Amino acid sequence: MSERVDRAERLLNLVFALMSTARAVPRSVIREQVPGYGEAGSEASFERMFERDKDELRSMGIPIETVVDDFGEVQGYRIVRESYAMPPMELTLEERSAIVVAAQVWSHAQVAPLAGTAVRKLQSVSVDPRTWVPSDLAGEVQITTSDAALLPLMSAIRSGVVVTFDYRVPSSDEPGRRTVSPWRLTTREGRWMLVGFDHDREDLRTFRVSRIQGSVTLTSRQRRAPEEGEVSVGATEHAGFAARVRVEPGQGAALRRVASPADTGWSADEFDVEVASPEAFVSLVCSAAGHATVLGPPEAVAAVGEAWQALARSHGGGQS
Amino acid sequence: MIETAGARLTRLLALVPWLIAHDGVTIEEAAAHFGVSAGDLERDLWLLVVSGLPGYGPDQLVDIDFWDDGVIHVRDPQTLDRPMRLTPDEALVLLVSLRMLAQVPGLGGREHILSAATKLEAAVVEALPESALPTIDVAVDPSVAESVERSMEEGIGLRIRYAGAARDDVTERVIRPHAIRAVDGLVYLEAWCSSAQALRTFRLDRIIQAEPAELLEETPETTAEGGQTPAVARLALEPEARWVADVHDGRPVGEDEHGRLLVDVPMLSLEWAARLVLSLRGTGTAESPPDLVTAVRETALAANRAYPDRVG
Repeated sequence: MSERVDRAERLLNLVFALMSTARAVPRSVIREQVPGYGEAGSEASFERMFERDKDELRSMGIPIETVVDDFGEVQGYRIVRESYAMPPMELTLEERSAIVVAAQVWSHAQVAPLAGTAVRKLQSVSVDPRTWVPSDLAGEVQITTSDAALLPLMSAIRSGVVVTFDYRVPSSDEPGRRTVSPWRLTTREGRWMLVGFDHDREDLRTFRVSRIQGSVTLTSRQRRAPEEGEVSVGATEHAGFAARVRVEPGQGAALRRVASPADTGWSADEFDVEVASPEAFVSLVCSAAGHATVLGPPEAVAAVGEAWQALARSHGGGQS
Repeated sequence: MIETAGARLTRLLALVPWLIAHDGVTIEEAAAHFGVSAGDLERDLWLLVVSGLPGYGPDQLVDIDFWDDGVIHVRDPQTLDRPMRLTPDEALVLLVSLRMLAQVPGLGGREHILSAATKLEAAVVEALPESALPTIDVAVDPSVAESVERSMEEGIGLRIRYAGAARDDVTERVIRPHAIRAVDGLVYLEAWCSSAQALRTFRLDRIIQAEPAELLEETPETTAEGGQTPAVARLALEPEARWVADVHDGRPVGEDEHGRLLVDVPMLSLEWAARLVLSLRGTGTAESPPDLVTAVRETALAANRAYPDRVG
C-alpha cells in the first residue's frame, strides 16, 4: 500500500511488535516489518523517525528495554509484558468509590484528563467494571489550583531534574527567571509551596506555586539533591523574631495563633510570640486594632509605636 | 482541536481492555466514556482492526466486531488484553487526592481510602519515591477532628472555641455541623451557628477546642443583607504591599502621584478592611470610603497614646 501511515498507527504497531516476543527486536526488523517505517527513505531518516518514536513511547511511560549483548552492542528492543500490563487488582466497592471521588477532586484542575485516564485503566482490570460509583460523602473535596505548575513540578521532583520558571515577587512588577532544584511540594494554610534549592541565589528557598507565571520547564540537568534535614528546614517558616504581648480577653486571635510555646495563647492573655520577621510582628499587632500591647523587647515596642504614627499620619492624623 | 499522536495512542491502548471489560457497549457509549465523538471512536476501531503483530496475517491482527447495530465485541485483542500500568503522573494525581481525602475529618471511609492508595501504588509502571508525593497537612488538631467526626456521625451538636479571622477574636459558640468542604490544604465546616442564628463556615484549623453539646433548635435563616452591593475600599499600595491586590481580589485602577498602585478591594466589613490596612503598617493607605480612613486614623491615634514617649 502506498497510502501514508498515520503516526499513531505506526506507534501502535511498534508497541505490538516490541511486545510480540520475549526476544529483542532488532532495528532492521522494525524498519522492514512495522507499517510506517518503510516510508523512511534513507537509513538516517529511519533512525531519526525511530528515535523520536521511542522517546515518545518512553515519555508516555511505556517501558521499552534496550537489550545489549556481552560486548555492549545494542541487539534490539522489547517491551516486557509484565512490566507493561497492569497487574490483576481486586478493588472493593468502597475502594472503587474512593478512587472515583479522588478523581473528582481534580475536576476543576488542568490534570482532570489524567485522572480520567487512570480511572479508565483501573476500570478495565476490576472484577466488576460497572460498579464505579462515588461514595456518599458528607461533603466535597477539591483541589482548585489552576496552577499549570503543579503537575510539572511533581514530575520534576519524581525524576530529579532542575526546573526553570518565571516567578513574580510582590515587590516587583516583572517576574524573574528562576533555576531551581525542586525537592518537595507542600501545602501551607491552603497554599501550595515548593521547597527547593535556588541556583541563582545559591540557597534554600520556598516558592509559592501560585506566583509561578506561565509554564514550568523541565531541564535535562540532574538536580542538586537535598542534604540531611534541608527539606524540613526549607519547609518550616523561620521564627526569626520573638516578643511578649498582652492581649485583651477574647481578642487578638491572629497573635494567639503564633504564641510560643504553641497553644499558650489560648489559655492566657499575656504570652510570648514567635514570627518570621519584625515586620510580620508589627503587622499582627497593628491588625489587632489596639487590643494588643507590646511588653518587650524595647525594639518591638519602638517598631510598633512607629507603625502607629505612620498609620495615623498617612490617614490624616498628626503632624506631617 | 488537533489531537497529538501520543494522546490518540494512549486512548487506543486503554480502549481495547476497556471494551473487553465492557463487552457489548455501543460505539456511542464508548465514545461518551472516552470523551470523543462517535466518529472518532469508529476511526479508532478501524485503525485497531488493521493493526497487530508482525506478519500481519489474519491471525495476527486485532479482531473487533462492531458492525452489528454499533455494538462492540472484542474477538481477539492480541497482546492488548490488559491496560498499561498507571504512569507515574496518573498515579500521582490520584494518590495526592486520596491522601487529601484521608485527612479530611468527617468524610468517613478512611480505611478504604488508604487501602485503595496502597493498591494503586502497586500498579504504577515504576516505583514512586515517597518524596515525589506532596506533603498535605490540613493542620487540624486531632482532638478537634475526632469531635467533629463524632458529631457528624451521631448528629449531635458541638461547643467550640473559635479564633475568627474577620474580627480577630476568640469566641465560644454552639454549632450543628452540616457538611465538610476541603479546598487545597484547608478544611471548612459548614454549620448552623446558634450564636449567629445562621449558617456559618468555620475553618477547621481555627477551631481551638470542640466538645459535644446539646443541640439547639435551628430557626429559618433570615437573609437581611441580601441584595446589597458590596462596598469597595480604595487602597494605595507601596510595592511591598502589592500582594494585597492578589490575595483580596483587588482590581487595579491606576497609580497615584507617588507611584503607588491604586486598587479597589471588596470590603467584607468596615472592621475587616480597617484591620487589613492596619496590618500594612503604613506601606498601604486607605483612600476611601471616608469612614474607613477615619476608622484607621482613630485606631492608630488611640493606640499611639500607649506610647507616650513617641507622641510628637
